[in-house]
Amino acid sequence: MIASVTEDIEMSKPSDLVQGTLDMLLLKFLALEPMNGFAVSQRLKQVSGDVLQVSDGSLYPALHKLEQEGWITAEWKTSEYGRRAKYYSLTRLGRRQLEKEADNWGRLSSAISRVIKLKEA
Amino acid sequence: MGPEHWLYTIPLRLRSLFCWAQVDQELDDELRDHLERKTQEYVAKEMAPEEARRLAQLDLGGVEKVKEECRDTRHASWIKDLVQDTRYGLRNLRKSPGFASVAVLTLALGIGANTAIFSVVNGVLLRPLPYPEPQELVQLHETSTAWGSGGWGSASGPDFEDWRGQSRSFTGLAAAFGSGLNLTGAGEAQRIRALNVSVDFLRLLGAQPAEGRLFTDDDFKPGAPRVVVLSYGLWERIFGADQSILGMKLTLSGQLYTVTGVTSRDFAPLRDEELWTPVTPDNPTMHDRSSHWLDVIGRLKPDVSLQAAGTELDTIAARLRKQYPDTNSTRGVRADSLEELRVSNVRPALLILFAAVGFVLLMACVNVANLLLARGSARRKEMALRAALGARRGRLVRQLLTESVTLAIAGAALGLALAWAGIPALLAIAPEDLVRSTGPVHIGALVLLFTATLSLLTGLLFGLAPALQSRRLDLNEVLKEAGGRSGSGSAMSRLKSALVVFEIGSAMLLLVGGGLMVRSFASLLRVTPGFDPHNVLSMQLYMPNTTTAELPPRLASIREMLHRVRGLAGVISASSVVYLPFSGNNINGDFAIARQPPPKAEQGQEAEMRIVSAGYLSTMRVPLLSGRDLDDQDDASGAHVAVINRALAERYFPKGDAIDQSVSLWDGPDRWLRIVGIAADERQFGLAEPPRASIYFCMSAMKTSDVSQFLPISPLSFVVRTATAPANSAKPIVAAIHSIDADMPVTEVLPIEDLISESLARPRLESTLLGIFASLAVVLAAVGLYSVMAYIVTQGTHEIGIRMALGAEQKDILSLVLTQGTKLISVGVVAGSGAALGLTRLMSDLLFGVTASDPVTLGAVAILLIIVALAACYVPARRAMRVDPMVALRYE
Repeated sequence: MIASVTEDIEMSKPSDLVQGTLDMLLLKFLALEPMNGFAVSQRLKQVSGDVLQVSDGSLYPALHKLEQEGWITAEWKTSEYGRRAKYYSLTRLGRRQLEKEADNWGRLSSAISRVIKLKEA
Repeated sequence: MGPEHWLYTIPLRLRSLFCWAQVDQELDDELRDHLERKTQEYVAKEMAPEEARRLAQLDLGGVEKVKEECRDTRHASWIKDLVQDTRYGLRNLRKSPGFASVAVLTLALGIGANTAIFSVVNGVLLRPLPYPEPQELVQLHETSTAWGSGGWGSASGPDFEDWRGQSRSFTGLAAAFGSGLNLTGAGEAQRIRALNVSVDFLRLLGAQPAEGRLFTDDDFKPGAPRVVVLSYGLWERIFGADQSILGMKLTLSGQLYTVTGVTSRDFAPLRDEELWTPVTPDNPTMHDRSSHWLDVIGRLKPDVSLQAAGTELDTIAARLRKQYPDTNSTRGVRADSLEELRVSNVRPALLILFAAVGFVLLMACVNVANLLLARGSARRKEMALRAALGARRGRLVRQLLTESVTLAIAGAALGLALAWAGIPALLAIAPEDLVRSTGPVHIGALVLLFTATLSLLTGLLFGLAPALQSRRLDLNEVLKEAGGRSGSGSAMSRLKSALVVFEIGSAMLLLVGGGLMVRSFASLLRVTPGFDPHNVLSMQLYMPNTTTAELPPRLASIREMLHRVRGLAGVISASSVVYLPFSGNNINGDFAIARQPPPKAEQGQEAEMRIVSAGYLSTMRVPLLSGRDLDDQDDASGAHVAVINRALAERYFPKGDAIDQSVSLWDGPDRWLRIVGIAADERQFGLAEPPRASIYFCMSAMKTSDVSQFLPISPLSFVVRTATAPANSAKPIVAAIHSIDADMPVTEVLPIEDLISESLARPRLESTLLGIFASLAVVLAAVGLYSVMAYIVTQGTHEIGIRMALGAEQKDILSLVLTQGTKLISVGVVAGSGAALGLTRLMSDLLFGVTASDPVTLGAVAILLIIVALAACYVPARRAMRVDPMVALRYE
């Protein structure tokens, strides 16, 4: 049925992720070690369980965006399956960006938890 | 974003732009790799390979969609899209050459007309005067209560000196008198346009010398040796840019002048003059407060406004009125910006033409938008399919706009070619003074920029409606629809109808404007000049300086020249006059009537002074109402006689007793001229100007001191009536003149009909252009109406079929369609008439003999437009009438 495509077609965005958080997580994974897109999706699932539902469909545009920003860089390597695969790694610029975002995140989350812990008068 | 950021991103952008295919292939590989691994993973969970693959696909979502999103992250993608859309648009246009050529041609006409008119506007209105700080330059004129508010004239020497001495608003004031000088002794005798200027003239305009020096204060002292400064153009033209010219003596109108310098190449003379000489206190006219002959220019101090300067000048003029009641009782002064003076007489016409072509372009846009809308309904399926395949709405709109801008650019390219070809034709029919007052009119950088902007704007404008329509696409509806018929037909017809009403209204507006101009021009042509211009040759003779003692032989030689010319074969009669009608120059002055009280000071009693030879009136065939023409005996004997014209007779001798009364010229009642005849009125200043009171008399009747003063500065015009085409007689006539005086420059040898024709050049240009634009508008409106009616008929074929099946006759169907068309037409015509009544008032200054709200014009063009529009409706209506009901009912 083609009817479904007549709904307004929007960029598929992970719904319950704060804007920019996905970027930070991806940067963090790639800071630990260079990996390819599939491995990133595996890692996302492992680490966050089912809390962070990031579909494969939104992962790739996010990775490409980071690449275009110059934060990560990609190279093609022969994978364990004997096929060429794209491996992403962090750039110097990306490392700085990660520090900045992590910093922001730390401040934001501690501020929010302070608010949440306020006692009702 | 630091440099390091660019280090990473620039190669990426370049790569995505230029290695598009490879980057896309990599994207493809990456996603394929992902799917492969994901499938492996599911298989590892003991899933059937088919099922595993399906789940992996499902996790990823639509592969194409993910790809498109990844592509969007490369910021270069819009360029790629643009190229792709343009290519696709061009392919589309090639597939429908009929549509493409009609659209491109329509746009080319609109854009071409706009480009041509803008290049004139740019050359005339937008170009500043070629002097430093041109906004500070002003021109001062004397006014007189006798002339009313519109009149102004030259200044007298003493008035100018008083303005200069007493005002504080200016960094300088300078006077100039435009004359000509006869250059002899350097090849053939030549008349050179010259300005007799006061000390600050060249300095005020910022002139710099290329060679030698410009004037110094010493050049203006009484008894200073005669000096001359040459323009660069003259220096090059006559002296071959020879530097040894400095210090050389030139013979100008019989007197020796030493060349002191040459102005720089880029200095533009103010009045097309080619040399400058100082006006010194030795010139007696400089001390005569009743001789008004000087052009005065000034430069405002940077912090003084034009208004403030005007107020100060008013105070000075008031003081002069009190101080010199004999000469200045009616006199005032006004200051105008020099730039404003230059453009003020052409600006209204140019702006009206500019507005008219603007409307033509809007109508062209509407027509193309209409065409696109009609195509749009045919392309709805294509759009729906694209949307279904993952194209986002914004992307579709962008594609449609790209297509329309592509069309517009093609139209602009062709339009530019049209303008390029049309501008020389435009300038050929433009009046001389318009062409001369402008900088070069050509397609320069600014004009190109204008056209480029225009084409983008038009592309967006006419593309907008169809593009926005594509946004309202309901895919389900469209894809379910059976044939090519669209569901939203009525909304569409409404939009198209509104567009067509706008078109008919605009056409009406332009037609009224064009009609008024054409009628005005026609009534101008019906005016007779008061003389018979057919087969009359005119030419200008410039006398050298003549002392009082030299005057009698000079006048005798003029009489001898006329005598020789009259003796030539093919010449019927010949005479002379100062100044020639339609020459743009005149001499006027106060006169007195014997035995009548002098006029009240503030009214004045002025007449045009027409200094003629015997037989002027008969040569020009100006009818004589009573009495006789001036004859050879009057001329030779210096008899004190004159002929007046009807305007003077009616105004000052209302009892009809003018003959044998006496008038005196200028301010001296010591010489009375007896009136021997009354002539009909000549239109001396152009067909649109009413005749003024005039007195005709021979040069020999004037005081010799007056003659020797004006003779060197005013050209003597010979008028020669010939039996055949006057141009044939030009050579022998000039030869006859030179046989008496070889050093006499004879210039501007032209049939008088040419002078009249030149005086009509501007109204002719205006009415031709507006007429062309109005015709274009009518054609565009007719095409627009035709396409909309055709659309409505096609949409309604089914309905028409049902009506006919139910018994409607052909004429019912015809009237049904025509009624629909008539509704559109009448709304358009009424709206257009309203707009016309409001807007044509702006052009009332351009009209002659017809009012801006002329009901005849309004009615005539309304009828014309309605006939054309009905004809445009009739063709589709006939098609509707011939519909075969059986075919129509099957039509889906």
